[in-house]
Amino acid sequence: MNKTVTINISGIIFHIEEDAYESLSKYLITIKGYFSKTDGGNEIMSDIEARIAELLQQKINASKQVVLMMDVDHVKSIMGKPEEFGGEHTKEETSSKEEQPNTNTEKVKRRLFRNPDEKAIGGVCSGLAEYFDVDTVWIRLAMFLLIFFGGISLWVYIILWIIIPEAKTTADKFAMRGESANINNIMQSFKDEANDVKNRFKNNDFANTASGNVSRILNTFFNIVGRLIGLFLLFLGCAFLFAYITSLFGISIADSNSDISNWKSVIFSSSGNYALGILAFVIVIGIPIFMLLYAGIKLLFKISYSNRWLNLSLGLIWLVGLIIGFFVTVSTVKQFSENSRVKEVVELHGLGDTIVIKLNPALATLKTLNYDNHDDLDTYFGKNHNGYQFGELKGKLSIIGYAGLDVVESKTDSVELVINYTSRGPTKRDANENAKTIKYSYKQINNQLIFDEIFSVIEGSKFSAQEVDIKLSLPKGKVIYFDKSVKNLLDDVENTTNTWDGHMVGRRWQMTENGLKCIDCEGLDFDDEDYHDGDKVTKTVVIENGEVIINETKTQSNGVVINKEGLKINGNDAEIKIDENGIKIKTPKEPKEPKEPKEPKHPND
Amino acid sequence: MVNSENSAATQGGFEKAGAQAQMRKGVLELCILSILSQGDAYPTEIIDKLKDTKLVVVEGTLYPLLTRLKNTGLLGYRWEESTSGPPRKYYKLTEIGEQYLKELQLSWTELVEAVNKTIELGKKI
Repeated sequence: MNKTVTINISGIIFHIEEDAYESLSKYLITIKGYFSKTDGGNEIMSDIEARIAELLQQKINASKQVVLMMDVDHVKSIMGKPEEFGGEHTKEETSSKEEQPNTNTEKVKRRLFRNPDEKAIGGVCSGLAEYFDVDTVWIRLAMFLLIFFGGISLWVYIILWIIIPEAKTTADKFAMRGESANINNIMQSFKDEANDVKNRFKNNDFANTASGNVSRILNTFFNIVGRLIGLFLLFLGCAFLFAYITSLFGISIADSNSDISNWKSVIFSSSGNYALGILAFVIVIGIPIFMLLYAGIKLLFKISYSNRWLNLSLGLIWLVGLIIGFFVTVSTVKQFSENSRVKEVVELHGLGDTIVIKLNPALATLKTLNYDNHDDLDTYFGKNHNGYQFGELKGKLSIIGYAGLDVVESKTDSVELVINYTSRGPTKRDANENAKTIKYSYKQINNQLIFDEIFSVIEGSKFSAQEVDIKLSLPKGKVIYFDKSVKNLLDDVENTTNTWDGHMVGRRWQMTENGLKCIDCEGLDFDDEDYHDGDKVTKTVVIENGEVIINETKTQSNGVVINKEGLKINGNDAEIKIDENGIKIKTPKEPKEPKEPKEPKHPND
Repeated sequence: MVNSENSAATQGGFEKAGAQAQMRKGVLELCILSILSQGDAYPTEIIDKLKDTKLVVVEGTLYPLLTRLKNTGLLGYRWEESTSGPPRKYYKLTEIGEQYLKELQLSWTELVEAVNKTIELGKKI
C-alpha cells in the first residue's frame, strides 16, 4: 500500500504516489530554476507542464489510475535533463557563465523554514541555521544561553515555532537551502538592476519602459522598507515582550508578598475574580505583543505563509480576554459605586470650660484587640500615620484605618460629638451595612476626651474604603486644648490663623465666630518649630526686641542668637560669631595638632 | 549542478558529442519553422515530426526555443481546447516568420552546398 498525493498539472488532476511526486516536484523546480532568469520563463514552464500532463495522461487508464515512479522516470527521459533544456539559451549566456562557472543560478531564493530533518524540538534552530548559513550548534547554544535572560528564548522559540512553516515539500527544502540573501547577492542584484535600467533608457523610448522600471524600483524599495519595518516591529515586540515578562514576574512576586496579597483578597470579590483579572491581562496585553513579533518576523524573513485559523482564533481569544477584563473591572468597581454614612451623635456634658483632647494611640488599641500579627502592626504604626493596614484576628483579615477629628462651631449651646462612619458598597444598603462593620471608640474622663487613633473593621469584611470622621462641635467661648499626641488625629481643623494641624497641638484654642483662635500662641513662629521629632529635641525660637533666639532645650548654652550685634552660634565647644568685627570662630581651648598652624594664618582673625 | 556535457561543450572546445549537439541546436530553429510552414501545430505534433528526423534528443529543448521564437515575433499562437487533455497551444508562422524562414532556407542551402563541397574536396585529397 502506498500513499498517493493529488496534484494538478496544467489543470489536469493526477493521483500520484508520494515518492513519484517528490521526484516530479524536484524535477520541475530544477527546471524552473533554469528558466528563472530567462524572458518568458513562466510561459516556458507552463508549456512544459502542459506537455508533462499530456505524457502522464497517456500512462493513465481505467485500470491504472495512479502515476508511479516509473511514469515520472519515463517523462523525465522524454523531456530530458533540465541542464539540456538550458542548451538553447546558453548561446546567449555563454559569456556570463564562463565568468562565473560556480554560480548556481538554478538555486531559488532562500526562505526561512523549520528544518524537519534535523530537529531537536521543532526544527526552529536548524531552520535558522540553514537560513543564516551557520552551524546549528551555535544557534542552539545562543537559545540555551538566552534562557537565563528572563527565559526570553523560550518565548521566542514558541513564537518562531508557530509562525515559521515547516519545510514539508522538496520545494520547501530547496528554498530552505536556496541562494542566500547575503550582502554580495543583494549588491549584485542592485548593480544588475541599475545596469538594466540604464540599458533600457538607452535603447528604448522612455514611455514604453518607464512604468515597468518604476514598478521594479518601487518593488525593490518596498522590499527593503518592508524588511526594515519588520526589523523595527521585531525590536518593538521584543521590548514589549521583555516588559510584559517582567510585569508577569512582578505579579508572581506580589502574590508572595503578604501585604499585596492581603489587598488582593479584600478588594477582589473572589479569588476567582482576581485570577480572571490576571488572565485578562495576560491575554489582552500578550496577544498584541505576539502579533507584533509575528508581523515583524514575517516581514523580515518575507514569510508569505499565513495561518488564517491562527489569526482568527487569536483575535477571538483577545476579544474574550477583553470581555473578561471588562467584566472583572466592572464587578470590582461596582463594589465601590455607592456611598453611605452612619452617624452617631452624642451630646457631651461635664466637660468644664476647657476641654482636653487626648489620643489613645494605635499601639494601645492593638493590645486590647489582640491581633495575631501584633508585632508586625507594632512596627507599622510606629512609622506610619495614614493609609490602611491589615490585622489578623483568628486567622481572618481585619482592616485597620486612621480616624480623623475636626472641630467646628456648634449652633447650640452644648458640646456635641458626631462620629461619621462612611463606607462604600455596590448598593446604598450594602454600603450602609459595610459602614456598620466599623469598630471605633472614645472615652470621656472629666474634661478629657480620649480618642482612639485607629478604627478597625470586623474581621472577614471586604475593603470598602471605610472611614471614620469625628466632628466635635463647640459653642462659642469654649476653650479646647490639643494634647501633643493628637497631631495625627486632627484633620484640617479650621482656625483663624490658618495654622497647620501639626502646629495646633500643645496649645489652647478658643471657639470664635470665625473658628478656633489660639490664645497662647502669642509671638510664636510656627515654621521654625521642629514638629517632626518634638519629644527628643525641642528648639525654641524667641523673638524679643528684634532678637531671634533659637535654643535647644537640652543644653541651654547652645543655640543661635540673632540680634543687633550680629549672629552668634553657640556649639558644645565651638562658637561662631558674625558682627561688625567680622567672622569669629572659636575652637576648644586645647586645639589638636593640625588645627594649630591654621589658626594664626587666618587673615580675618 | 553544472552540467558536465554542457560545460565541456562551452569551455573545453568542440568534443564530438558537444559539436553534434551544437549543430542540432543550430538547425532546430530552421526545422521548427519549416514544420510550421506546412500548417499550424502544437508542440507535441512538432516533436513527433522532429523525432522522425532524430533531430530532437530531449523534448525539453523545444519549449524554450518556441517561446523565444514567439517572443521575437516569428511565431504566433492560439489556444485550442483538447478533448483528451489540457488546452493545446497551436503555434503558427507570422509574416515575419515566413520571411525569415525563406532567408534561412536560402542561407541553409548555400551553407549545405559549401559544406558538402568542402567535404568532397577533403575526400578527394
